[in-house]
Amino acid sequence: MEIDLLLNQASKEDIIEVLRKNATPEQNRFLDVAREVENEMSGIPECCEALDQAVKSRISRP
Amino acid sequence: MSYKKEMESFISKNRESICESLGLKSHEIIDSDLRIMAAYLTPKAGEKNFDAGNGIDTSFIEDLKRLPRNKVGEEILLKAIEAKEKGESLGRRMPNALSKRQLFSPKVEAAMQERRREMSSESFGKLSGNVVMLKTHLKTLAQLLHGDSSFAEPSFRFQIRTILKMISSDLNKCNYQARAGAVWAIKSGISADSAAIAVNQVYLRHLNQLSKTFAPVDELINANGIDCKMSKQIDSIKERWYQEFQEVFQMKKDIVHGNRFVAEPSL
Repeated sequence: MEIDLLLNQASKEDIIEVLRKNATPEQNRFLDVAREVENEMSGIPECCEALDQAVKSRISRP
Repeated sequence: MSYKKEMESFISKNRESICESLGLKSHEIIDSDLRIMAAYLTPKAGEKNFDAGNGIDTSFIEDLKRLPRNKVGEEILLKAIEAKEKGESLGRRMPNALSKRQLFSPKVEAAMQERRREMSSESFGKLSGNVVMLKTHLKTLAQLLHGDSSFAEPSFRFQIRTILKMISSDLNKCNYQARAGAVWAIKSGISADSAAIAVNQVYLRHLNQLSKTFAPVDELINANGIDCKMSKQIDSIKERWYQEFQEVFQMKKDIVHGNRFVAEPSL
């Protein structure tokens, strides 16, 4: 899917840092909140891991 | 057919999509709600080609017709909320039909207000807090599944159902808030394609992983007779964003190649 390709290419750079370069104060406020969201979302893989393990453990039970 | 009649008929054909965007059931929206919505989206009679300072003109209904069906309700709602906030129809003045006596029914009014709050920039500020809740609920689900309780126990089934409802509601809230973020980004002057990349970087790519993780979770829970479609819910959230991204990037491509000159769509 073309959109995946575009997004993957784009995500090689940190878009927040790119946008910071010429950001207005309002855009900076947005970028601050976006970074906060990103930090929280980075905990999602840990939850995925916990769910993976939980499913495996339940399936393996007799 | 007058523009207003055409809008009324179009809106009533898309009743389901509007209900879905409002988070209401079909019977919770009454016919007068749809008529009022149509009035908000109709230019003042006789002003067929009114000067659209806000970028909306009478071709709006044609634009709506070109949208994928699942996006029509959302677009109608956003425009109606916008017009309602300004206290006017998309024309210059409120049509007489929209007197103070004719308000949306209480459920629709409340749902519209809720959506308006969700679309504000403060709403995006709440996203990180909601992600914290989502993570807590995901971990609780993992603990429940990891534990010794059996699906045969009614109390365990109840716990599973409750936590699934919470996760589903967290996901919806997060999505509205992420949308509010995209709208805020664009209103602040960030280009639509950069906003799309930012949404993907901070939010969407992790949802992808969550959807994959949920496939076997859904399977396990469904196999035990509890309805669980979390992976499907996440995929449909993701698909909707992708559709919009596709338009944004296509538009950018067209602009770069000089194929057309158009305003960037609002996410």
